[in-house]
Amino acid sequence: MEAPATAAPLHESCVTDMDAPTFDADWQRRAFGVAVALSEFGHYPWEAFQQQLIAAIGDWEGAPASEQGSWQYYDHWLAALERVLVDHGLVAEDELRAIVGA
Amino acid sequence: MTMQFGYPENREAASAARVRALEALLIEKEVITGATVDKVLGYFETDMTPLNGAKIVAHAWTHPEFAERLVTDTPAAVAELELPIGMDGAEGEHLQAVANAPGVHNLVICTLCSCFPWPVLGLPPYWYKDPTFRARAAREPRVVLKEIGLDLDPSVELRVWDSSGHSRWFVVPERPAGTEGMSEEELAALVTTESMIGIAEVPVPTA
Repeated sequence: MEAPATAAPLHESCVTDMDAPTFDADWQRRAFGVAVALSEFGHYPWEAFQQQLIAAIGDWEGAPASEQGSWQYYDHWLAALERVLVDHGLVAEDELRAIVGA
Repeated sequence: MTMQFGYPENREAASAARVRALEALLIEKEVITGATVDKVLGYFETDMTPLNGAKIVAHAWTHPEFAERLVTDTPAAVAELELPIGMDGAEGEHLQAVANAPGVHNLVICTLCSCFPWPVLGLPPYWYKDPTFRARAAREPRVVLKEIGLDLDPSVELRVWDSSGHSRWFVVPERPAGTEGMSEEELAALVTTESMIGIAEVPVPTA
């Protein structure tokens, strides 16, 4: 599998970088659209999402290789989206658990 | 989030289901409507495309005073043209044009991530995001350009612009020879994304 594209730190001013806005599957496109739409309509600043994305990718990079699984950028994107939704009170923890556990 | 590790076999399907459920929940909670995400995606996929950049370049080729304004105050110059609404959003306010000229060639890269002038060039091509391209284009830009087919004369000054969230560069390439009689619309059709990133020149029209 390809290496993570974000091994280097992002520009500090790079608040809208989408890094991989080409999609292998429709769910990736939807996840991209939901994250951008909520930011565009002021539900959270883009930086908030960006920080969660960096954190999610950092967790993956820091995990032992045996636990990493293959690289899938949009899984991190989705994890970041879920965290930012809870952080900003758009989705409750229990609602999220119901979805993730479903 | 335990889902990050130990992926289930059906992780693709699981991810798809999670996204569907999240969007449905946000619609149910009236955070967004059923049309919101499509509208935003449509804006990215339909309105913010290299066609905008091509129109800007063709206008600059045919209007020298506009060409000057374009490099001194890019957002204001771009706003003069009738391009899709919202060009000043989505980081359009950080657009900065640089113009090629005889003896000067410009190349746009983003060394750390993939900052890109979306409103005028759309979403970046895959190689622009490639870590090897990003590193090598900064270190040995002439070699990289030669490898991908642009062999600059040693006398040409090569200026490399490192994009960031605050400076989203794009190149105004030189107008090719043999296009004197062409309309602005015909000229716009010649302008490629590659030429506006600076890895190629605008091809001289054949026929």
